[in-house]
Amino acid sequence: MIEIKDLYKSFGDNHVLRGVNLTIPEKKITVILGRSGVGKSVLLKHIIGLLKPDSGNIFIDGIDITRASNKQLWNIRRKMAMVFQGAALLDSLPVWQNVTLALKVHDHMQEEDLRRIAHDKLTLVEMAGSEELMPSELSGGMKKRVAIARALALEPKYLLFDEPTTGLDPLTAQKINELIKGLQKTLGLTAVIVTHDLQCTFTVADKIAMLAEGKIIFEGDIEGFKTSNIPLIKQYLATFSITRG
Amino acid sequence: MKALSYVGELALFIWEVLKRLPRVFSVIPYIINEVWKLGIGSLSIILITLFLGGFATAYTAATQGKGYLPEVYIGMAVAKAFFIMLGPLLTGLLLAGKVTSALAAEIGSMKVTEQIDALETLAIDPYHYIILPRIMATLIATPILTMVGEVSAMIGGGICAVTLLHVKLINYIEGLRFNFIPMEFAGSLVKSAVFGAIIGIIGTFYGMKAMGGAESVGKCATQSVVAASVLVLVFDNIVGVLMFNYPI
Ligand SMILES: Nc1ncnc2c1ncn2[C@@H]1O[C@H](COP(=O)(O)OP(=O)(O)OP(=O)(O)O)[C@@H](O)[C@H]1O
Ligand SMILES: [Mg+2]
Repeated sequence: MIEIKDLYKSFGDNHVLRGVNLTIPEKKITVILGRSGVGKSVLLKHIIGLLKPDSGNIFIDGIDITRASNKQLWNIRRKMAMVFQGAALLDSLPVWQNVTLALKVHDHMQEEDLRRIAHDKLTLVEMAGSEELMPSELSGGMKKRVAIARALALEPKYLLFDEPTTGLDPLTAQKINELIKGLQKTLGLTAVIVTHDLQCTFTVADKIAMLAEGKIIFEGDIEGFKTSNIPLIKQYLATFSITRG
Repeated sequence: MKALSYVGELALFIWEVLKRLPRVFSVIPYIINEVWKLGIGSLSIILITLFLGGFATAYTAATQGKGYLPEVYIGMAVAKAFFIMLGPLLTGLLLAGKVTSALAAEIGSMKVTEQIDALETLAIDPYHYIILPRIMATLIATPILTMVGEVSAMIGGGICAVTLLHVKLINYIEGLRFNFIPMEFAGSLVKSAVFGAIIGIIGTFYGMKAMGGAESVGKCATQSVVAASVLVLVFDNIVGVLMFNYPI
């Protein structure tokens, strides 16, 4: 379980997080919704320890990642993986090495084993056959898939997604959503997805949290979200029904 | 105030790198790979520039010393000029332009496309696996390239001496060996190692400073070249004074 308690973070005068409180349940998909620039990526980077808060705590399985020693931090990170907004594949390595990089560095596995694992993980995301391609040869959707495969290679307990569907066409986006949902079911992961895409949210979410003005203004399930009286959520839902006709 | 925080940032960066130094052996393959890339990439420009430098030095020494100095001094002028001063300095400045900017751009684009963050989330320490090997590589490659460049300068000077100045090859070579002081040769290597460290540290430091988008990467790359060139010149003097001020 991940518990976020009273998290504050500012960049100069830009007060991005102003007291975020949120619990992320195990073996479920939690979607954090919010408009562009509201601080979704910043919140996710705190959860995985890339950013340190000004104040507040984040407990991951009871360990406070904001106070963790470097060693504890590395150990926690081995339980977590993140799929970045822009995929963030290493330009200089072919797909299969991207997928297995962490295993090579940490577990000193042989190339043969690494290739087999790369193939397995790429099969999970329907990218088998792309092993030898370089990231620059992949489309946006393919990169996201490879990034997911790389995240899965560590067999994480927690999988964090930063806008998995942004920048993809609706069909590809829907495929990624189904992929995430399917993976979560079969592997029993705890997933956190940050997005402003309601289509994605309604496809995958077990729990929805809405981030606005530095705070979580709503926490609940899809039904609760759809019937919420909070004006911002109503606006959000209104634009969604317009685009859906 | 700004200058102070800059120095502080740089010092912190160097400290982060130094902390990883005890585990440098685990990244030797990466270092070799980087040295190789760097060497191949910069060899031709250094060979050509230093060759021409040696050529010009021999010619100038000959015209300036005409009538006063015996022709063996041409070789000596080239050897002294390049071991004490021009070899490390020219190589250092060339690499400060070429390698520093390339490093800053490479690391900078990894930074802004979140590749550095991604490595951290994979529990792969970017300072250990990305930064340290690159700094070690410039530290190793710069003295090697300097030596190669110095040889190229001697050859350039020799060709000038034999073809344009009609000096006997044997006299030119005698001049190169004349009054050869091993300490000076060692000094040129120490200097170039210092330059190599500067190039690697400044290039990676400015790369890690990049944030936002591609524009920031370009800006950091440009700034890194300025900083590295100035530092090479400053340390040329510092190391020069420390190494070469033996009593007369
Ligand atoms: N490292 C940083 N330094 C300074 N400011 C930052 C940094 N990272 C984020 N910010 C600022 O924090 C705010 C929130 O950024 P964030 O990237 O979290 O938004 P987001 O909700 O993920 O938006 P998007 O949907 O566009 O990705 C922005 O105003 C941004 O400029
Ligand atoms: Mg974002």
